[in-house]
Amino acid sequence: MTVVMRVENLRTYFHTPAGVLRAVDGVDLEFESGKTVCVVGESGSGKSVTALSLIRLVDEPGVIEAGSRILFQDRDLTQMSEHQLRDIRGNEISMIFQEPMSSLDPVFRVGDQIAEAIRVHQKVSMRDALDRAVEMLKLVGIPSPQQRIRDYPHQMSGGMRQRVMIAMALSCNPKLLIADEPTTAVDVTIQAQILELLKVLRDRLHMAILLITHDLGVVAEMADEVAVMYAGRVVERGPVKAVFESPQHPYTEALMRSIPILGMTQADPLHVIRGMVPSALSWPKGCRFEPRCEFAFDRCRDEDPPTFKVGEQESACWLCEHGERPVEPLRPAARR
Amino acid sequence: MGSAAEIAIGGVAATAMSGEAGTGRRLNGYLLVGGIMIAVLVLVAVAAPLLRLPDPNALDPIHSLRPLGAPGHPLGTDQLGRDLLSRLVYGGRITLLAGVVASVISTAAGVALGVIAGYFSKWTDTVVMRLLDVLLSFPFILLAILIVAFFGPSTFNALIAIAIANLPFFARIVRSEALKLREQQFILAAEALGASHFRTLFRHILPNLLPLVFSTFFLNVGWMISQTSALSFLGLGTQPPTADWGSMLAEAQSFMDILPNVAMLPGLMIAITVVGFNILGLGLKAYLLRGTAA
Repeated sequence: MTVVMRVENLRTYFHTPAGVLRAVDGVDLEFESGKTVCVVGESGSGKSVTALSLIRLVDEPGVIEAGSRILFQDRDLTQMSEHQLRDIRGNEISMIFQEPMSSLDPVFRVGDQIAEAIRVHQKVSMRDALDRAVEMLKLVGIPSPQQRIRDYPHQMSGGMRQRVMIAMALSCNPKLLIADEPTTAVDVTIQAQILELLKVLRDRLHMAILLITHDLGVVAEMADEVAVMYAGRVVERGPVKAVFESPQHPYTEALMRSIPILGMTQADPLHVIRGMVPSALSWPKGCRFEPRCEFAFDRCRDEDPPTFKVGEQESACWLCEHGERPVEPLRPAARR
Repeated sequence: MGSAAEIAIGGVAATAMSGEAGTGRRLNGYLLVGGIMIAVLVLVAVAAPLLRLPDPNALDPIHSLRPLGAPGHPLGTDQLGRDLLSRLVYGGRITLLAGVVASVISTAAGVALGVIAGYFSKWTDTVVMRLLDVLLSFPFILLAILIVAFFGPSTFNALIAIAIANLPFFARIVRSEALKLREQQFILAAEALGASHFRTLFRHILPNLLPLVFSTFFLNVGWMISQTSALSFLGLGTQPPTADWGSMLAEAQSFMDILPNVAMLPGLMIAITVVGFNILGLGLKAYLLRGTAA
């Protein structure tokens, strides 16, 4: 497996009149071809800003701070000119978004849009680009693509439009696909189809996928590796199986305990995480999860935990300082 | 214009239909009435040379100030005995043309400035919009008079003056729309797939603005006609003996109490035309922008 992209100490700050908003504050990630990395976290944890940062599409006042490194095949994206970046976007790194309803330009036929995405990067005739568009629509499983390329986006359903977006994103064979909550806006059956499609295409085109989601079910379905984000940082990272079996960071554990289990009744208490995500303008001094953590002790308040290696996982929690943290089985409801 | 219009119409249908399913756009009363009014006016203006009207500038002092229905002059004559019908028709050509050309110029320049300001925002926006604010800070007609005074009175200078004085209004409308579009996800998606600013601007922002541009253009023509007429009325536009409705109105003022229709006819024509264009513009707006926020 070759590493496609390595992100080191990514920090994206928004310099607002109210102060510096540290939306992403020291994120490390690694993407291998043919593998899917899922980034999970609640709203405001910095997932989407991380995704946009990777192709340098963060708008003012957002700035990727000096010292951040985004190494894509040994080239540092943070050092590139806008022109060089344009050659990479959509060509070697592609991105799809949450809202399939608004991701396509309403005034152009979908075939023209896919063809345009191709012609941005390749010197081919419109006819060849349209042929390729048909091929791509076939690849993403749209029936009778010859006719469908003449449709306007409003003639398609949400699921179909997301397929068209995927076709556009993959038309230049990218090495990395960033998918920012691609199934949040579609219903569950379509969600399953889209995820399955992404899996098949990943294996077929041998690309790396970064999948952003807040749905742990999607993670279980898709991920090879999972990174849990909280307050602008990755608090836990590791192979999906290990993280699900034994979440080392208390935040990950709390997230998993918050999922209702089939067979639960109203009598069974559902776990909640107290409080709210703190403001990105002023993160807590010590561990950022400390104010909400059930296991917090004095040290958590004052000292920011570094990332500790625990088996195959990494966890930024003082409890993991000396190796694995014992975790109670996640499914007490199984006793029923 | 065919393909551009087609693209635009596809787009608006899309936005309209994302809200409610299955509703296409329909002709509305405004569009029909305004369209017919303007079509007749334009047709007469274009076909003027084929109508075998007398020379609009031929003097005939003996038959001056004839009433409606005078032999040979269905609408009478003015104080110099010129045929009023002929002057109204030929004056209409100039008035309509001036209004349309002024509107084209201010639309084109306004769209360009508004789109650039709205899309690039930041300092580009600040510079462009503050410059336009300077234009806006002058009373509109005063600015036009200033420009004409500087370049000398003529139809062309008057319409340029009107176009410049109107530019900020157009630029503002387009800018706010471009700002809204810029935040749309498909713009981000286009950029994420490697589109340059240039491409985003011309392939995505501009085509999406077309319906708004079309309808505002027609709304504007009426306004421009009344303004160029006003300049002509003040003697700053079309120069005698050439007829345009504004200058006809100005010349006729002194004869109002002798023969009111000399002044009323050009005034009526201006009113009809302005109302016609406004109705057409409203109709187009309802037709093209159905279901969109605008």
